[in-house]
Amino acid sequence: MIADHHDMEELVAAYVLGALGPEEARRVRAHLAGCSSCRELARRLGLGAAALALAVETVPAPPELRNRVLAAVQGIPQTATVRPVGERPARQGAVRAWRWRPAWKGPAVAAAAVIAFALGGGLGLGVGRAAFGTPAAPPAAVAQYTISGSGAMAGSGGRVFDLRREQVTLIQFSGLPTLRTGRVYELWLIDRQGHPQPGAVFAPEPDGSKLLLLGRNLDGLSALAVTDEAGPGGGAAPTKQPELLGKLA
Amino acid sequence: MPESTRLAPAPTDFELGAALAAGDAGALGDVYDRYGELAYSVALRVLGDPGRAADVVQECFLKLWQNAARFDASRGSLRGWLMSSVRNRAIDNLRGRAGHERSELGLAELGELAAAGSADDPWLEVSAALEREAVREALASLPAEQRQAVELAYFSGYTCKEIGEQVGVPVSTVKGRLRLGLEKLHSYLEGRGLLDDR
Repeated sequence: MIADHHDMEELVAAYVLGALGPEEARRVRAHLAGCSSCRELARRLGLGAAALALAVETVPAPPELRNRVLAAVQGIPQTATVRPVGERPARQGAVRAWRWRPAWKGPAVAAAAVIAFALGGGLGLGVGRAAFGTPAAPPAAVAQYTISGSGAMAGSGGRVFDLRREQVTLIQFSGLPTLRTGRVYELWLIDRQGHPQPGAVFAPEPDGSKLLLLGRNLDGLSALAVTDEAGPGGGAAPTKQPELLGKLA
Repeated sequence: MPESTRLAPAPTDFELGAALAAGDAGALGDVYDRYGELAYSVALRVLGDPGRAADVVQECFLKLWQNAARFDASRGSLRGWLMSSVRNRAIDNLRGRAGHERSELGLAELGELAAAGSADDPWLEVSAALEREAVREALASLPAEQRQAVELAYFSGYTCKEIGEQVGVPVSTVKGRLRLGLEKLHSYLEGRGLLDDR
């Protein structure tokens, strides 16, 4: 019995991937029906298998395929049998966890660039939780990144200038939607384990721009993100998934 | 203070599934816009032929439409169901199987990644890109022989016996490589908080 169970365990991965012949598959299926530990194993391994579809390099589909697909269902009846639809998972007040944990090894998202810029007057500085330093004279080199918007903030973006030596970071936002009364934008500094830390709160200029100066460089961080939160001081943790996000090299 | 710019939030996969079940053909267009490229890419990866890949995508979206009322969101996500359907149909097509000779559990029934595509996550495009990158890195992190076995099984539909003959190792070795490979994939993705391990 025990030997048989062990034998079945060894077959579960192959079964999940459809790599067994019909007779072996039938034996595994019968075993799973009566073995909760193997069913749990199948569930775990299946999570890994299900992810494999995401590993493919995406290729644009032929433009006409969309119309083909929609035309194909015209007049096609749906199966009448209705099974109970699963309950929608209850939303939680705050984000349960930032479930994406990008691996930061691999090619950089943005190339480092050498820029020279002058910090002129009229800077709208955000109220940062980090202590502000005084920027040094225009640096010889900075690391530059891009923040991109999606969803409701699809028209927004940001350019990030990481002045490592001077230990300050300049972020130039554009296209920020106007906030509702009582809301602020909050910048999150995301460490290499994916944990967001409060960085700064700010409100956009009337034209949707904003220039932020942080009194630190971006060492030890994997990404920057922005969400809109309750004002005036934002919160200790984000209450929603970000729609403005920039990955750092 | 002027009104803020408001854009209608994108429907969640759960909402799209419900709309499909209610016979909303427009929702099928939304599902295509969200997952059509990925579905085509999976089919193309398996078949290597753009025409056959497009045919498979069309068949699977038709199947999704026809069976939308039977889709149980508590057992898997819309994306998981669709990608499983595309992969399986493409493998059947590749291997010359006329019918659905599927011998494994429906992959979509076995869980789904937590980020893009989950019912309560409104942030789709950005997290989807990060998620795909994480999965590619997970696969790349496997020892070469495990990665090879997993890819031959998943993307080419080979049995353990066929994989063993191809790479010149016993069937038992192939089975062990598949198990270790999927275990490692699971651990890698779980360690990065990407798995909705219900």
